Amino acid sequence: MRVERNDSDARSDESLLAAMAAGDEQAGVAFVRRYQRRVFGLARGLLGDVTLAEDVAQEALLRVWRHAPVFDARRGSVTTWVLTITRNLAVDQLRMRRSVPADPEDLAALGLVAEAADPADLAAGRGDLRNVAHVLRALPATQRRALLLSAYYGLSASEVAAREEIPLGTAKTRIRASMQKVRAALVPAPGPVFGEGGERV
Amino acid sequence: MSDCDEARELLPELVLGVLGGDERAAVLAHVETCRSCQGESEALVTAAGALLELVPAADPPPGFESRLLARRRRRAGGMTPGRRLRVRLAAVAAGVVLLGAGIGIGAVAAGGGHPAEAAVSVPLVSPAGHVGEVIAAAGRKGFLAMSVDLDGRSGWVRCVAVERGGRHVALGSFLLSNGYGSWSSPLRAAATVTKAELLAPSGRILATATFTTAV
Repeated sequence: MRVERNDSDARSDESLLAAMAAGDEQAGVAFVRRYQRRVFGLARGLLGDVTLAEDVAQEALLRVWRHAPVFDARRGSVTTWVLTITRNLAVDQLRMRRSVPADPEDLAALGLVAEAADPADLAAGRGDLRNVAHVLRALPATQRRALLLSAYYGLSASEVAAREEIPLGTAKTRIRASMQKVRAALVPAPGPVFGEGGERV
Repeated sequence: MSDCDEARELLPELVLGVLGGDERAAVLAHVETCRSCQGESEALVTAAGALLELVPAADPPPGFESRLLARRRRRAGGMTPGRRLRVRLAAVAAGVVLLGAGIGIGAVAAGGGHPAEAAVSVPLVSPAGHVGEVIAAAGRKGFLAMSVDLDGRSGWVRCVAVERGGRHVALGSFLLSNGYGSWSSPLRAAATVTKAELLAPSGRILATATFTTAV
């Protein structure tokens, strides 16, 4: 699990959230400092506009702060939770402005540059992110577009279908297939289970 | 949806928060009782999170932190501990599970509460930007709670829920003080609610909250 140590607070993300839930303002400040670059980076990558990105980033961090008591570690990592809130707020803004994303084919628009993952990530040994970047690059363009449209821009399968001028079933298949490839690169599916008699359970 | 294969096909869309209506309800109902699909959901949540982490971090503009803290202080001024507690109590009384970030990645409840009764939390937005938050849940004990920070505007405002099909359900009139106000009211809607609106006495729409998942 990545821990960004730009801040001087040594507590884990979960500890900070627990402290924030208990009303510890300083824990909240430490959390903001720890996450602001990632949250703002995602907001800016999705929205393009710095002012709007700042608004969304602040709202996302305030929402995390407010909902700190609700965070359930069973549902996923703190990072995923924080970035999901950010992405959802950004998508709300895009929908309100009826902004179609520029060209989702262009990974550079999202800053998903091929070779250079964030050096800090590489230094922290984030092989998982390198694997995901590789999967993205290796996807057929049609699947990559469907994945970007749904995973980053929150388009439903029917919206992807309308935009790509493909049947709904095809859109669903592309989203599913690309997500399964990303998932496989991170969390290999469990192998078959064999019973005592050698039969497959 | 009792068939795992059927549910599995839709898990990626569910986890990405782009599955709507009946499909979403059916898949959630299945996942609630299926350990195998829960495991697969968790793996997909990890995948979705990794995709978001790929977008590079960036330095926010100078003063970001102090502006954020100022925003928080302003909100805290309006949403007193008493009001906040009443909103939470309303949610508990309605027997709902607050899913936090509304809908989307990670929203698959790990065995807590029937999905149909889950509350959603969405931003309240005006042309000027975020001005508050709305929490709502449908059902027998449906309710809608709203907290508002409308930058100095005081006086009466009206709150309505808008059903798909356009029918307006009046939720009441409320008083803003220094731009702040928060309230909750029962929500009796005949059809799916798609948004909530905050109106000036003249009927002008001040802010809107859109439910990206049906309430």
